[in-house]
Amino acid sequence: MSTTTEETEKYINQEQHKAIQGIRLFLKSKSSYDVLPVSFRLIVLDTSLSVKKSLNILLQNSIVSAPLWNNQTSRFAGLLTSADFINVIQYYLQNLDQIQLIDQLTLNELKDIEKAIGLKQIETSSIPPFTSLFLACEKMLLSNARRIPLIDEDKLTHREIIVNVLTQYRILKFVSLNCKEIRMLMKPLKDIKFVSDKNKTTLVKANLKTPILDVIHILTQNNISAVPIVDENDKLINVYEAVDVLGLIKAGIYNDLSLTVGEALMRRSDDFEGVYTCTLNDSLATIMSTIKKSKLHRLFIVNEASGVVGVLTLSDILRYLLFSNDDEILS
Amino acid sequence: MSQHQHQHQAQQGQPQVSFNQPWIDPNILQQMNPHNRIGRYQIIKTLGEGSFGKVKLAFHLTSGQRVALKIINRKTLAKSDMQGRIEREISYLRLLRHPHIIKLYDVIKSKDEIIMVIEFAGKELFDYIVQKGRMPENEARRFFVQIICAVQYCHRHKIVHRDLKPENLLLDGDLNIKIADFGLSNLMTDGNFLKTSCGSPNYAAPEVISGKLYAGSEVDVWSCGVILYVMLCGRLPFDDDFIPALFKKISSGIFTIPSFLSPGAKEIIQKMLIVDPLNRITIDEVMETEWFKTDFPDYLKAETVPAGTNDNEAFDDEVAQNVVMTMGYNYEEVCDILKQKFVDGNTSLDNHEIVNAYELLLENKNYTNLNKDDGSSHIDTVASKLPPTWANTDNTRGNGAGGKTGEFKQIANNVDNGRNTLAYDMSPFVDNNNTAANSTISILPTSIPQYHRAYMMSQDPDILKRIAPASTKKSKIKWHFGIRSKSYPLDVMGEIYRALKNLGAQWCKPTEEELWTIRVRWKCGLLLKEGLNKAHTNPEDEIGATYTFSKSKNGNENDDVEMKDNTKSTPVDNESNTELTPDLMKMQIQLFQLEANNYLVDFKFDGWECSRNESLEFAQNDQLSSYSAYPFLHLTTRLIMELAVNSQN
Repeated sequence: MSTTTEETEKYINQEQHKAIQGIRLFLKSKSSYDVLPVSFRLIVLDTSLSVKKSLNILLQNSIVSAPLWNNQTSRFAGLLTSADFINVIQYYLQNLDQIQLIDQLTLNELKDIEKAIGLKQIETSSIPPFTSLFLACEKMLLSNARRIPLIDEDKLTHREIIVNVLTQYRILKFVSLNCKEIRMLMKPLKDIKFVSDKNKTTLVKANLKTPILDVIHILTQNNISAVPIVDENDKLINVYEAVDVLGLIKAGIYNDLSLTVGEALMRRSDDFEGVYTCTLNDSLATIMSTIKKSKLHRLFIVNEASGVVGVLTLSDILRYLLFSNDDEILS
Repeated sequence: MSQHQHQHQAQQGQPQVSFNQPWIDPNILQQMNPHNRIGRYQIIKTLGEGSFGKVKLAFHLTSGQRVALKIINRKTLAKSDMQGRIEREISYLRLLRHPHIIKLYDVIKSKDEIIMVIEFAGKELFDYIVQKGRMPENEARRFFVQIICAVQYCHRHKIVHRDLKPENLLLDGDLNIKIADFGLSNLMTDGNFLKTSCGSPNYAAPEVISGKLYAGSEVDVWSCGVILYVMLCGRLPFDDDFIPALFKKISSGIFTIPSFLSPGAKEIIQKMLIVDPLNRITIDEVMETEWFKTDFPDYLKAETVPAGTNDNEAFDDEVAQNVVMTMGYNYEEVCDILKQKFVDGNTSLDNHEIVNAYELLLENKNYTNLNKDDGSSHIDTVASKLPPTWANTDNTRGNGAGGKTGEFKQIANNVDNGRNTLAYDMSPFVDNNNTAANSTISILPTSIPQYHRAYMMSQDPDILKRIAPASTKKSKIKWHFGIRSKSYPLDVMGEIYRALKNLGAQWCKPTEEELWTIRVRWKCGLLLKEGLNKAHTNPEDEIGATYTFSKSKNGNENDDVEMKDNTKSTPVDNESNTELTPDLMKMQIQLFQLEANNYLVDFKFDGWECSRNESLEFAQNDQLSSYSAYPFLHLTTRLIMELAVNSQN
């Protein structure tokens, strides 16, 4: 630690506290609808579509999830996310004899499969668009979801209308664009309690030679969205994300289950922005201003030797902004 | 792996957050996908889309230096008979050298595109202002002086920007202004220029928005005035969400000046934002004001009073040869024009391309002479493959120039020290540094997909035989609203009516006034129980039966009124009676003319209605529409598909 005087530290803490109060007020005063752009494109998939076609649609449009519509019930039917595609892989690993059927599997059947083998099901919680942002965040954090669909009802026809899907990134970007308070979040990560608490648990890592199936297993077992990949000196060099599974299936993983993660990553699209890293000297001010400009879903915290010491996810940031108590912020 | 480590460390010192590695090991670059190369440059990613086409981040293959590629589609340029002139103008831009103008290193020409290889600057002044709010006068003046000197330099060389706005004002790593797109607006057809400038008219001068064809250097003065206002006040002088209202405000030239501005700043803004371009202050007069001259940096003094553009200067054959080389004229022509201008004193040649190029090259040469003792030892061997950058030459250009880079380096060092020792001995609101300057956030170079592939290939040359590389070609779906047609408009309308008939829709008889609008209603059963039952007990499966509303039993002549009456006379009370759930969807179809021989069919949702009137007969709607998530889009798609089938027959 540095030679900072107690007074400066106290000042920083108070600013941090003020900023968080301000951001909470802001989240309570704005509705989920406010986050949506004036004009946007939304892709809704019909549950009678095949998994294969759905995957092509996601990849073609550079998206990683889509809300579903059941034409039998004429209702919203949950979200399709990378977790579902991981489930597909896992199911077929257990039932290798059915591997030929995968191309015909529909989204409806996928849901049945997930039920049958007791895997995590498609997230179906949703909120009306005029729910306050604070409640939307709360609901997401409590259900461990990274996104939440906004479902409205047409006043005249009483039909459900899928308005959009709100993601944690969209909310944090909205905050960073509209809350001047983010500049006051000067407290370095190393002094924020939840960061150091979280860093005490060891991070599961992989290297370029780790079999891809092991990496997928790590993702599901730990319920995480990304596995850091390190070299022989434990330096962070890359990451495997749950969403990378989409490209893996597209390329036909069933034909080659022995790929290493390094090989699998060769198929990653050039659109991939790269892995964001930060250090314990960074503050939420610098992180939020990065979120304002770049699409990122987590930052790996590295030390001087590029070793991973932790990870900061968007849920971590939201949870801290929403739920941290005064003692935690001021000490 | 030590290589990766080194680069990661080097990157951490950079304050920028966007992909901020200024250099990539050429050995790694060579391994990257050769399909992503243009000339000697390896493309890494698309940075954005500007008014002139895509801008891509790339690295020079042999030196590893970072550049930006601005890819201009020839189609967006002025008419083809002007192509030769356009290429010469771009060659001319290549001669511009100023510390605050984005350097054009190279121009690559192909059949469809002109690719400008330009200096990379990662940040926009706009973001900086948004992040920091209004700035103190000293800081704003520093930016303003840099902008004005760059603009004056270009005006001196007969180039007007015409589109100065925050998006074109970039910042380098040391927070110095770099103006982009100088001279490009001249290359656009006027239609294109208007289109692009309409994107953000807040910075456009009154004579520009009023569409006056002549736009001289005064328009840049106005834009600079707006920029200065924004920096000092943190808001726009003229702003309105409603574009006509905004235009009115700009044309009136009425704006408020906050009281916290100093009298000097107030005066300069007032004089720059004078509506009549003839009364507006000129760039040279701006530079004479006391406010502007305060703390004027030495290195820019050398820029503004260039040695040797004097007309009496002896003819420099070397420079003339250079004009021949860079601009592609023949030597005799160049000598002839220069003789007329400088020996015979023919002032009508003041704006001649050859004269301009000669003067520019002469000025450049004089700078180079000033820097003779440069010794090139400062120039990194890597960088020397590209034209020398100003950062390098600045170090040795007289006392003033040296001071500039030194000064900034020192600030940067202070920031670094601050981070390492006194982590937060900086109050966020006193400190003038960008918060991003304290950031240690960066992107891991080894995680860039191209880099990763190259690395994997260097480990195992045969890997591509086992792993099919990612398909880089993505069949991007283009989204359009409505349909376009080049057919005769009455034919288009005929086709639409035929398709509507086939789909069993109803429409109002078109009126004289609204010949190109069709008001339609469709049965769109809903899967609410009652709605569904109704659809079944109403077996109107007389396919193709269409009725205009005037045929209905009321026989009302005014169809529009009737449609309204229909809803009015049967107030829909959804809460109490679900049987009244509306099942008729109304739609307006309208034909627009986009340009000669090009029409757009537009579809507009027009509300719901109940099919209470049993005498109205509808064709059985298709089953799917009952269940679609978006009934309007579904019916529109059905119609478009029907039209497509018809047009193929």
